[in-house]
Amino acid sequence: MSNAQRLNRAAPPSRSKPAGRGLAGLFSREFALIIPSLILLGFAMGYPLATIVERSVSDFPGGHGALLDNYRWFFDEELNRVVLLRTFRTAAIVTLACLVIAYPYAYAMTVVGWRMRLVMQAAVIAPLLVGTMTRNYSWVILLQDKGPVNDALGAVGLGPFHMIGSLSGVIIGLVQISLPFIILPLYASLREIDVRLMGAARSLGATPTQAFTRVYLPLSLPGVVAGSLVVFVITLGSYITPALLGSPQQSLLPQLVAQQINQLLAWGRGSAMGLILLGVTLLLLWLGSRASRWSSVLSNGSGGGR
Amino acid sequence: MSAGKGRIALNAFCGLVMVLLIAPALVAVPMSFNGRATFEFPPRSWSTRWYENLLSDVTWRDAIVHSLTVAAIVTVVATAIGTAAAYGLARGRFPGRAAVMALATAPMIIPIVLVAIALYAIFLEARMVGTLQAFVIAHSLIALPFVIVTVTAGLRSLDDGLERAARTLGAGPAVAFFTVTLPLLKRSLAIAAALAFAASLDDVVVAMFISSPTFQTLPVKIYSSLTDTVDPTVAVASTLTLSLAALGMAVAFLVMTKKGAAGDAASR
Repeated sequence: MSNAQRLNRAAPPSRSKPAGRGLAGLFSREFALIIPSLILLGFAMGYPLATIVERSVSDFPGGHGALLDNYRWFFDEELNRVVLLRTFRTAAIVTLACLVIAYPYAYAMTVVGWRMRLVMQAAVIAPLLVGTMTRNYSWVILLQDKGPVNDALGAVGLGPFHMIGSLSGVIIGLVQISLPFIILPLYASLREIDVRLMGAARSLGATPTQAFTRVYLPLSLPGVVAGSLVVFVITLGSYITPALLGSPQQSLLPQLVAQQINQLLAWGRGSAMGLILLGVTLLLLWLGSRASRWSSVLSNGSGGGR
Repeated sequence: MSAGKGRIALNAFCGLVMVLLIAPALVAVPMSFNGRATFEFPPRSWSTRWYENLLSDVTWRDAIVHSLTVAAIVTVVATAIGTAAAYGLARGRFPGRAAVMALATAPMIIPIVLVAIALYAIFLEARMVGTLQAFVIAHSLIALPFVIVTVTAGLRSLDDGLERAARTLGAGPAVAFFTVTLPLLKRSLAIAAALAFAASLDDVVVAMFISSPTFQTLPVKIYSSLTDTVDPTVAVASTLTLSLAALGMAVAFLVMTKKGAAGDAASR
């Protein structure tokens, strides 16, 4: 493979126009193939986003205002800060719950036989195929005040709990819906860990707990970071589940964005909010990529192998 | 033995997680045979009239037709231009390739509400809200990253020496691509097309913004029906989606086991 690449680099003129003369020389013929996608991305993503940016600094409820008034309004208004905080808290709770459920499951997937692993994999992928609306509909039914979940809890003497139309319902729904998105990357990362290292640690006198916390856990950190990040970002941007299972009094940021646009026709404020949501998401992804680099350095340092 | 106990606890835990993953979706099946228009679960009386309703009610039927039409066109568009882009990115040499790749996967990362209001803004200006064209453009954007990521992965695992060999033997670039590379990419292309189809069929948020009372897709119809009524036709639509998913999984499973058997036969 690397030989082929070297060969490739050694003889470019046979494959494309001679390089080095003018700007056109920089682009090989294959560039033409990406043009249709670039047009779509430009027309359906670049231009609309530019419109949104433009509106966030030029469209004001009073008709006129200073450049950053919509952003200032977002952080000045108490309600917005409360919603932003609630959105973060909800995403954190959902991510933590997902991690606690997903870690043992993904670990089990690495130690069972191939037949069982296939079944466990199918159980993770199946919910993804079922579709967003079907899954949300199910939770509307299950979490009703007189629904099956409350019936089951009542049978063991608990509840009834008011789950639908509250943040707890949103969290339950989001955890179940997000689970596949953390199990899959986590499994991919745990699969790569050489389990013989645990045996080595044990033979050198480590207790099972020490072998786990000092050897296995650090090696699994890149997968933990990647999976958690996916769930956190998904939760941060989720709209359907909070709208169906939550209440307008406890809305999350994406709902507030939609409300500004749809009900208040406040394009400037809605756009500013949407862009703030994007900014937070990008910041998290950037921090996450740094954290995963850091954690893989850490696991390489303690793992020594690979 | 504590290790044995730990193993039993882990198995029990995983069993529960599997139930948590699978069981909730199945709620739709009994609900779809509900005798009355309630959210009561389990239903007390039974009927198949909601199935008849789904087929006879013109708003439901239209929603299904719109969803399938959009998804079919999007699958063709996104798979074609996404595959071309993945090939260009993998084989071409030009400045800013990493930037193009990041740009191409951006629709996956940008919060969907922002994508939705941005597309809504331009379609409002262009008077395209509630049109087939608007849906095709929007859903092609959503589907594009799935195609590019899948086909890029497929190309990476492909031996590009084969294509070069064809070129050495006198095939033009187009002939080499269509007779050597494309057949080898069949599997990746099938997965990419399936993902594009699913991405379009599953979109709710963008569709909610760019639909009109006369042009809705199935998820939008389900959403509005869920928030306004207790119509069990929703459960029928969910049950049908569920059946489609089960069918898709069964086909994938058959293909995989058949492929496995063929691989065995070939290696023998």
